Amino acid sequence: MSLERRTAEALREGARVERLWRVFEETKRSRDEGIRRLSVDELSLVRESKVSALRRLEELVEEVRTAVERAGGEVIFARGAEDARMTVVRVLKDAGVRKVIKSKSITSEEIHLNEALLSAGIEVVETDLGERVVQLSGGRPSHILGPALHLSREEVAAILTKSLGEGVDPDPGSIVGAVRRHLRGEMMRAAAGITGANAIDSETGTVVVVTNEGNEQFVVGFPGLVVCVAGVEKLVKGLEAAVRVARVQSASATGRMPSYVTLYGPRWWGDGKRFVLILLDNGRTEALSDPWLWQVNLCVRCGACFNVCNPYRTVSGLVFGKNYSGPIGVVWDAITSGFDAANEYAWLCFSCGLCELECPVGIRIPLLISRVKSFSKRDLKVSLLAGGFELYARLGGRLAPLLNRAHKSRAFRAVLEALAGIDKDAPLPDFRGGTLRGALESLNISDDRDVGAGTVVYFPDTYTSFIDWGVGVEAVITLRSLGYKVVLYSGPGTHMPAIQYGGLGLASAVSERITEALLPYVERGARVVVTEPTASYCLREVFPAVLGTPESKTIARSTFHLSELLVKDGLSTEFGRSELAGKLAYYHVSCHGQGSDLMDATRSLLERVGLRVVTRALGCCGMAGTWGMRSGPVGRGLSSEIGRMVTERIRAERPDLVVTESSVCSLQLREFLDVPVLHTVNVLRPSLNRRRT
Amino acid sequence: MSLEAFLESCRANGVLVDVLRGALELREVVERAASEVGARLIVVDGALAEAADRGELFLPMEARPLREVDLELLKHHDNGVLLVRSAGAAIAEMGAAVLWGDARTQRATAMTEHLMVLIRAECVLDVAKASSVIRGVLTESGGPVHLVIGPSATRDVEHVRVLGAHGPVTLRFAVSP
Ligand code: SF4
Ligand code: SF4
Repeated sequence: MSLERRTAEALREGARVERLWRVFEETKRSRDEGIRRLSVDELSLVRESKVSALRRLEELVEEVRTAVERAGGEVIFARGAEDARMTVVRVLKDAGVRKVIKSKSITSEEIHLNEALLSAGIEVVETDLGERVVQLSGGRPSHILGPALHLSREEVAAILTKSLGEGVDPDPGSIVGAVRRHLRGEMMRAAAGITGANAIDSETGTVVVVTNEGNEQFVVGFPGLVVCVAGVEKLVKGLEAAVRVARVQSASATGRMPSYVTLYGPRWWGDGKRFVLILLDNGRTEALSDPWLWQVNLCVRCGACFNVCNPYRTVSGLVFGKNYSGPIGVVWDAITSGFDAANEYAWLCFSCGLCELECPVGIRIPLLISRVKSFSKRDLKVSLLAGGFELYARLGGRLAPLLNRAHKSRAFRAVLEALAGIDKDAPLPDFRGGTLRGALESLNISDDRDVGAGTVVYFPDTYTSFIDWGVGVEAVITLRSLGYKVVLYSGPGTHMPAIQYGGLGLASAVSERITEALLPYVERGARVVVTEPTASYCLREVFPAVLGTPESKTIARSTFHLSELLVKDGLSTEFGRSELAGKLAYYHVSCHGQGSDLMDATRSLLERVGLRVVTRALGCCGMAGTWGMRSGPVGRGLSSEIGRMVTERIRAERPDLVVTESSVCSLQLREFLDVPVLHTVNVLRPSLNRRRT
Repeated sequence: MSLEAFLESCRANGVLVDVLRGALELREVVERAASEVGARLIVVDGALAEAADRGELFLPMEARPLREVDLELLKHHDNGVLLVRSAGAAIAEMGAAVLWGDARTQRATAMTEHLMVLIRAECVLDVAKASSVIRGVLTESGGPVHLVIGPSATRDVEHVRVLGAHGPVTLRFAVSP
């Protein structure tokens, strides 16, 4: 079934959407509290130990082999999925095993281990509660940590009632009791156990596994043969490093410590049990030579990136997934099952960038996904959107009246949908006519000439340059009134749509040109100021990552959002009480503004002019640049549903107005809300106390 | 790393901790724990039973050494068993009791409905030191080693937290000087 159809079906399941949003909102809240208890040092220690292990992976493989074999265990290196499946089957068959118990292992999903065992006549009993329910249902997990999160309690109870042959009430306590009773006997009798690993210490061959349910204690503790199937990237040097991985993984997953961490290896207390460690490559070492994808090997599989991904929350991992699921799942599937497999759902990612902010080991997930998308067959309409947005915006500057009329014509919108894939019902912006430069010239505002420390280069990006320059004029007036010398940037826009739609090559070319254009000013002491969060995201985050040059990093360090600049330069006091003072403003921080100083800066300025400000971490509003303008369930369909969920929460705050820095978020918010939606600069500029003389 | 840090981690993990004034107070604390959870049978691990035999600590009269108990008794949660174990070490930053020992004791720990762990204050270590102790156990005596941090729990059904998914419904630590 196509991604469009699967998405359309998922969007019809309103109750599931509501439930998943609630679950991930709760998880994010508790995770945010818990992760604060870990120091930055601890997070960097884990990243460093993983990076250093990946640099000398071959050495670590040899080390673990020696350690395990010396202590009487076995290590088998499996190149691919088939190799790993056959090895497990052979080990179990040789030992005469007919039934095996398993703890949750997404790596075994990756290699389709259960199917192979069943065809070899070996019964598999999953012991993680959610995983067992999913197994009994014949489905597949929708989340790496909560495999059955997509199911309601009624659905779980029905699956168990049917499979266990006893009536199970649809209440979580009864469900858990039924599964415990059902699994106890199975677990105590099993001849063999299969586990995954959160980390493996190469020096001792110790496998570290985190669980909350405690099933690992049964899987490792009862059978006489224990097989661990783990990706080779789980190797780290030293037991302390392995324990730290477990600690960070759990804190980042739920904000809490897990209930259990089990450590086991080749040597067993007292009895002569057998231990086989199967180290799986399956694309991992090949990925190490990719400039972007290597990073996936740092992943500790905490699931934090899932919590904030609004497309994932909305359609669940059954659609946003294949063998893996969620944001990083796209990359795992790409390296382990191929780009085609990953691109079956990678296109649900609209590059909001929020998952990256959650990752405890700093994986640049959105850029990795963009890299995966770059290997897919390009849809012509998507290419048009990726490359044509800036062109259309420039055209709109010249032909505003004509295009504005056309946007209201059903016939034109139908043609636009057929040719460019722009949904005929999606909100499109009205062109103001002309350009920002033209508007400034007509107000007799020209570029300041003597560039120096007090100069700012205003980078308006495509929207403010050509579609609606109102915010740009207000920003330039504000800056000049406060004594800055202002130069208006000329050059290409950031081309964010290109990055979104997998065009990392174009992004790299554009970022070179933009860096070249800005550098001469920055080198003379000027700073770059933006009013669109996507512009600051590209200049500060994406371009330095894409180019990696000292010049791009210099630009990144010199780029500020307008609010950040004003607060940093101590200019808050230049603003007085606004006409809006006393009103309740909901501040919608666009995705690309999150994780920066923008949020605190804007909030303090809005409060300074007398607004009462409320904001919530709701994530992307669904517009995501041009994403919400695309036709079809994956475009406007998904965008509207996310917009509905987000604005429902905003409405619950009962704001008098909404303030946001993003022009495209404004389009979406106006579509769903009936209060005014203003750009920050439109609130601040009228409250300026002084004017430049 | 201080005992205070361990207690702080336990509080963050939501685990009840009794800080004993002396080893003699253990009996009282175990009895109280058993009565609070409605336990009908108190079972103690080998190390505790031996320490009690040596007169180093006192256990409730009705407490039975694990070696005398059929594991079938622990198979079903409704038998109301409280297992009392002694930890080899504890990790301050994680609020974890580090448990190792023979397979039978480790199995009983996985199965019991209620678990109480006695931790000597001097055994509370930081992650680095505890890792080195665990490494010694794993390479010299053997595993598995379990870090026990909370009761057995799941959120697999609609994200509602339910205790006693596979193992103990309650966990309590007693720290002795
Ligand atoms: S960038 Fe946004 S949409 Fe894409 S995977 Fe990450 S959170 Fe989801
Ligand atoms: S990518 Fe990062 S946040 Fe996502 S599961 Fe992996 S480690 Fe966790």
